[in-house]
Parts: sequence; C-alpha cells; structure tokens
Amino acid sequence: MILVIAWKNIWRSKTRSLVVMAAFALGVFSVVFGAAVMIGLMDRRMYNAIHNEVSHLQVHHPQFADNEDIHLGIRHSDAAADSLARLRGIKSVSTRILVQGMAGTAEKTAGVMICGINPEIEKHVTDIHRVIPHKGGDYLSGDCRGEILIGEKLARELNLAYYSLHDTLPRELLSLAKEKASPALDSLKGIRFVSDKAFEDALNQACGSTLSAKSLYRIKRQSLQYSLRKKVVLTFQSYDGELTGAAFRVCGIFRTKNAMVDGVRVFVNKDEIAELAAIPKGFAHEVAVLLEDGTRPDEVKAAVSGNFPGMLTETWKELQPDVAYMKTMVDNIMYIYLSIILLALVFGLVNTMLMAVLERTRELGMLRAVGMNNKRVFRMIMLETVLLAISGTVAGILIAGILIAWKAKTGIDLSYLYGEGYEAWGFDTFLYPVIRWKEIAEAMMLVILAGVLASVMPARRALRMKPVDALKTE
Amino acid sequence: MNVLETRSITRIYKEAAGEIRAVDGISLTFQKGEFAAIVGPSGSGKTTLLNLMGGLDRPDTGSILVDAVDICGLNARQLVDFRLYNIGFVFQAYNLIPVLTAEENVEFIMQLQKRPRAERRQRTHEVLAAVGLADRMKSRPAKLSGGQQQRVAVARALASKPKFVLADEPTANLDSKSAENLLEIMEKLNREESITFIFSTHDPRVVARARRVITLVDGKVIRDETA
Repeated sequence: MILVIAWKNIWRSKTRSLVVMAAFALGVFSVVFGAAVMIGLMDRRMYNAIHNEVSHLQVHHPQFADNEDIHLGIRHSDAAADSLARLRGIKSVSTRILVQGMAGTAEKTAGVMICGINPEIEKHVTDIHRVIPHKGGDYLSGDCRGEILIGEKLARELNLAYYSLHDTLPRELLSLAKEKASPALDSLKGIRFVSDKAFEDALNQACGSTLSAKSLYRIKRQSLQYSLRKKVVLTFQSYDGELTGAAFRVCGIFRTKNAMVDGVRVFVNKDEIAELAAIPKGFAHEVAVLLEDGTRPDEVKAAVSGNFPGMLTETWKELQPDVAYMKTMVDNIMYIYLSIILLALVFGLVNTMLMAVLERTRELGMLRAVGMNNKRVFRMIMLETVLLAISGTVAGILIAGILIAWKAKTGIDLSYLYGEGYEAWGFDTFLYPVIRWKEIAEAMMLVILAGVLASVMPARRALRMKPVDALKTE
Repeated sequence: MNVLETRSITRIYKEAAGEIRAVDGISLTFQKGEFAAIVGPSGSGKTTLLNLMGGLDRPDTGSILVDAVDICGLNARQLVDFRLYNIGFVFQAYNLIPVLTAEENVEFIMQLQKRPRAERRQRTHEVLAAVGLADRMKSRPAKLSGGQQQRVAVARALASKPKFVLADEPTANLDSKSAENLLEIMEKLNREESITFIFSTHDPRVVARARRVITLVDGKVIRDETA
C-alpha cells in the first residue's frame, strides 16, 4: 500500500514530477547512448587490434622488440606452433618472419616492416584478407612468389594510389555537375591526383565553393584508384649481414583503418622472404596466436609460453597497452559520467521532494497521528523519491535502447567529422553502438542509490515536526 | 468500565510572555459508550486536552490511563503503535489522503495494523455502509462533499476498532445539514455499537446531542455535567 501511495503521490503535481523525470530521462539517455557509442568504438578498435594487428597472444625473442634484429627469433617455430595449435582453447597459430627494409617504386621509397607469412594459415589468424577494398586487388595467392600485399597508406606514399574522377561522378558531385560546375568537373576526369591537397583544391575550384568535410571524404574514397601489378622493390639486410633485395608485384592493397599498420606493413610469402634473406629453415620472428575465447588471454599465456621456452609471450594487452587502457577506461566511463550527472540530478530531486514534503506537512502529521510510524513515513518518502528517479531513468534507457538498437543496425558514420584522424589512431570511422544490459542494470542500481540518498533530507524534514504541530499547519 | 482516565494532567507552554498553562491539573474519567463534548471558549485548552488524551502530546505532570495503561510511560515508537490500535481520530479538516479513494483511505489504517486482506475489505465495507457511503467507496476525497469527507474520516477512525474516538471540532467546516447528518451517524454508532466518542467543540448542535458536557476555562474544568 505504501508503494501505491508513494506512486500516486508522485502524480499530485504532474508538471513538477514530469520535469524531474525528464531531467533524469535526458541525463540517463545521454550517458547510456554516449557510453554505447564509446563502447562500440572501443570494441571495434579492440577487434581491429586483435584481428588485424597483434592477435590475442604473440611470442618473440625477448630482445626482438629492442631493435628488431633479424637474428633474434624463434628456432623450430613451425614444430612448436603445430604442437601449440593442438592445445585446447587455441583457435589458430601463425609463424611469421619480420624483416625491416625499404620499399621503393620508380618514384618513391618508404621504410617498411616486411611480414613473411603463410597466406593460407594467416587467413585463420588475421583478417587482412578481408580488408581489401573494392578494386584493391587480391590477397596473396597460395603460391604467391613475387607477390606483395601492401597497406593503402603505404600505397599512397609510394604513389601507387591516386585520386581520379571516373566517368560516373560521385553522388555528391552529381547535383553540382548538373548545374553550374559541369564543364569544370568534366575537365578533371582522367587526371591523376597523388596528393590530397591537390585533389581537394581542384574539386573546390571546379565546384566554385568549399565542399564539406563529409562530401570531400566520400568523394575521395570513391575516387581512389590503385596501381595494381606495379613493381615494388624491397631492400633489406639478410641473415648473414648482406644487403639484399628483390622486386615484387603488388597483388593487392589492404586497409585495416589503422594508418600505423597500413603505412608500414607489407605481406609477402614467408618461404620466399626466408630464401631471399637466407633465414634458417623453421626460424621465425613472431608467433601470433588467436584464441577460441579471447576474453581471458592471461589464462592461456602460460600454456603458450611452455611451448616456446626462453621466449617472451605477451598478451594483446601487453602488446598494445594503450588499447587495453582505453578499453578499461571506456568500460568504466558510463559509471563516471553517470555519477557526475546523478550528482547534479540529485540536487533537483532533493529540492522537489522537499517541496512535496512541505506541501503535505498536515497530511504527514495526520498519518503519524493515526499510527503510521517513522519507519513507514521514511519508507514512503524514500519510495516516492526512488520511483521519481527510476521512472525518468527507465524512460531514458528505453529511448537510448531504441536509438542504440536502430544505430546498431545502420551504424553511425563519423567519417565526415574527422575520418582520417580516427583512422590515424586505429579507430573505425563507422561505428556500431553497443548496449550492455549488465551495465544498464548496474546503472539502475546507481540511480536507486542516488534516489535513496536524495530522500534522506526530505524524509528527515517530514519527521522533524511533531504530529500535533504538523496538524496545525494550513 | 473506564476506557480513559486523566489524573491531574498539566500542560504548560513556555512563551516569551511567560508560561501558559493550557491544561491545568485536569482529572477526568470516561466510561465505555460515552458521548461526551468538551466545550469552552477559544484558548480554553480543549484541543490541547484532546491531544494529550490521544497521545499526540505529553503532559508535563500527571498521567493518562487508557484501559489502565499509562500512556505517558510509553516511548515515542510504542505510542505510535498504541494510537494505531487503541484510538480513533477525526480532525476538523477531514485530513484524508487525497490520492486514495474513500475505500482506500479507510482500508489504509488497517493495513498499518497488518490485518488480513479479507478482513480489511469486510470491515471497510461495514464502516462505510455505517456512515452511509457504501455507494461512494471508489470516490476520491476531491469528488466528495465536506460532509461526505468527514463521514469517511469517521469510518477511518472506526475501522481500526479503537477503544474510543477523539473528534476535534468535527462539524466546524460543515454546513448545518451535513453537520446534523454526521452527528446522527455518530450518535447512532454510539447508541448501537457502544462506541465512545469524545468531542472538542464550539458547535451547539454537538453540545445538544452530547450526553456529557465538560466545560473548560483557562485549562481547568469548571463544569462536568451528565444528562
């Protein structure tokens, strides 16, 4: 009954209660939706880090990270990897040869990390074969001698990628082309722009106005062309200390959306690079391990380490501490935001409940006079406060839930904000918000706690006056 | 059989101008089934006496016995429970819970007593029928007239099966017809069910129906007449 009275009491002053509920709804909505976006962004970053960069675990020579010396590797790595792959919880294992070198075309050169991989095995460990864009060529073939797979950013640096308008203009330009800018835009067709700035300037000039960042980003993505089958010369130091090199043909371009990976890594056949660099058979610099369940890599670490005595085994959290740190931070961000917002909302709630108690002084006096004890009066005020907070919170969660469910399907495009900036830090420009019901339940508990705390002052005020005095008030 | 007895109770209020003896050494005894009115001019101590007898206030000296229990010796928590199970209150301003229906207002007091649902329902219907509001049980106070609201208040006071009902100026806010109607109901309940009613009042209509009239002046009983 006290619960029923508390609920009905809320609706005595509809406007006042609705304002408080709206404040809670808005506050909780912004926190839940904001957190879902952050979690979605971070989950994607983590996925990319694991599936395109470091896997769940990696094994290296303990000193390899210091200077990436070609001699610091793992002997008999293939046998150890085979044995590791049979362990429970291990999904797949890839052994790699890593050699620092220079990649050069006729026009440009750039420093690279040459990754010698077994293309078929690598498919089970990383998603590199899945991140080849449209018209970006193919992944390394099984017997891929002489083939090289390079990142999009490196392709741009080596002038193996350029902007060129097709005969069919991008959608963003079509509306302009139909009107005033058609001849100017037509004149750009077929021209190769290797620099962003030159292409953007040309587009802006042809359109007669400055295009938005969103339009520019989209036009650039649609106009990017790759020079496939072009020759790239890799130069590197061999195992015996000699400078060596070989020419490769670009079979494909990958785009992990992490500019740091796309700008440095190139993939070639492991056996081929081993031969060119005179690396002993079975020798590898890196063993990458993908787990069945990646949530607890620390538990598998010892087993992996046991297969490679004297070597250094690290989890993705140790290999990319920045990602692990950001993930921890994002996992807790909702609580931090919610605590701050709840603190502000609690002041409004206390004020509202103080007013409600003040208005009902005589009624509260009557209730205590007829036999409602202090505990029950306190409980009634507390329930009213908590119900007021929860109602707004449920509304906020519902609205956020609907929006998150919708955006989880359609995604949120952040490319027009600063797409290249996101990619430079390894984040996807297209994110899918993620709602976690466990955290929502915990947030609800926080709101209830805030409601209970907010009820203390009004309830004490309600109990402070003697019933006989309360009954005298008008 | 005494249901209520006050023994030389005094209530003193300390104010800037000095002490006010609102109730000054009053000793009274009430038997079961009395229909008594406490009358007197404003400031004579009627309401203070009623509050003391109802356990809403404590006397500075003296004792108050309800069914031979000295309520002055009870602590605050015990006193709340004592009021809940032993005393019915009717206030001048009705003091119903506006968000509850007449039925819920009456039932609420029995919920505080933790009585079973079936018993609550039956008693609610009984007392509301007794005050002539069987057809207005689902109405909220705002939809009832002043007289009807006060009848709900009487029903609420009776619902808990108290030893006596204290009514502070119950007809003060009512028109003549409603007041007469309310008094008739209370008189009937007193006569047929031996419910003890003690009123504080200015209203001559209440005085006319009371079988005992206690007159207070300056906190003292100057007359105690039984018809």
